[in-house]
Amino acid sequence: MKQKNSAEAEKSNKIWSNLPFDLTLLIMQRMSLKDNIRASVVCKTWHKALVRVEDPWVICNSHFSCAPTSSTCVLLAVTDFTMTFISIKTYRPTTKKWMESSICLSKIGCLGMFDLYTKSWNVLFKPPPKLFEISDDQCFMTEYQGDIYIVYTHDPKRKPTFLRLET
Amino acid sequence: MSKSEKKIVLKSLDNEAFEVEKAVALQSQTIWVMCEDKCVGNEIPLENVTGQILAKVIDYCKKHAVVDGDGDESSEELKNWDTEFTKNMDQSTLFNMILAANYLNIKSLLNLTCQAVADKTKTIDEFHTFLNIENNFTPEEEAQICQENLWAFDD
Repeated sequence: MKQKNSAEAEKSNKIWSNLPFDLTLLIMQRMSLKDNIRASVVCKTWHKALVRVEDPWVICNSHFSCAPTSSTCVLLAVTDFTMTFISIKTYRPTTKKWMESSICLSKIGCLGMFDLYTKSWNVLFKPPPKLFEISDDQCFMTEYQGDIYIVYTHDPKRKPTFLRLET
Repeated sequence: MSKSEKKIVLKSLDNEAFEVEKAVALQSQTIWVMCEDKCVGNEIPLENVTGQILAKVIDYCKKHAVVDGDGDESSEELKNWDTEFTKNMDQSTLFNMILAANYLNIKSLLNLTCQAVADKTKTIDEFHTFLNIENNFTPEEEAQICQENLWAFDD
């Protein structure tokens, strides 16, 4: 009898481990963040699902502009990014609310930022003159340890150029 | 439209046949596409779903088709029905319902069943017992994750 139970347990264990990853994600997305983190300790697959769910600002790289005790401190968190689009959430203790802004990289390498706070676009800078004639597949944005970089791979014979966005 | 055209037969993996109204079956995007493409006759073989699970899926679709059709039941009632529907499902049924909803592409049912699993599992122990998932972390790895997120484990 005992043997049968353990055999059944093994069988059901197998089925849940076989749940397609996308469906595991769906379940994880429906949990509160707290349950989510608890669930991530269950097994490695579920832990992998944790880092892909919403509210990623808690787990992804974040950055303080100065000491957190300072009233002017801004907490920056990169929440979502593609090659040409980065979404950033900022938190100021004085506003008590997360603000979201988006940074977009144009095809010719110009950087624009949409600020939800002022509801306006700011084009931050033009690409350096050296990098003329770059096309969209030669520049992309990425995030590394809380900083945003634009990478130009304009000349295959040379090393790529990195620009770090000052935040 | 003749009576036979309004009905459709769904055949499960274990060869159980269910005759249902077309309006009920078409809540499945997968079946809708099959019918639209005319790649099937009046009988649709569903090779990934057992009769036991298909019966439950049909129950759900019938309930939701009626409500969408004549609006007799309030959305409140429908919500209560949904809650009752998943309340006593064991983990293996829920698991198969999620797979079936995904395969048949019935978004509302997929939402409902995923939500049910999320609601049923609040503690790590519940995860291990309800979902019966084997912990494949080393004790050190598990301790580290708990340590990094202490606030989530504080009760």
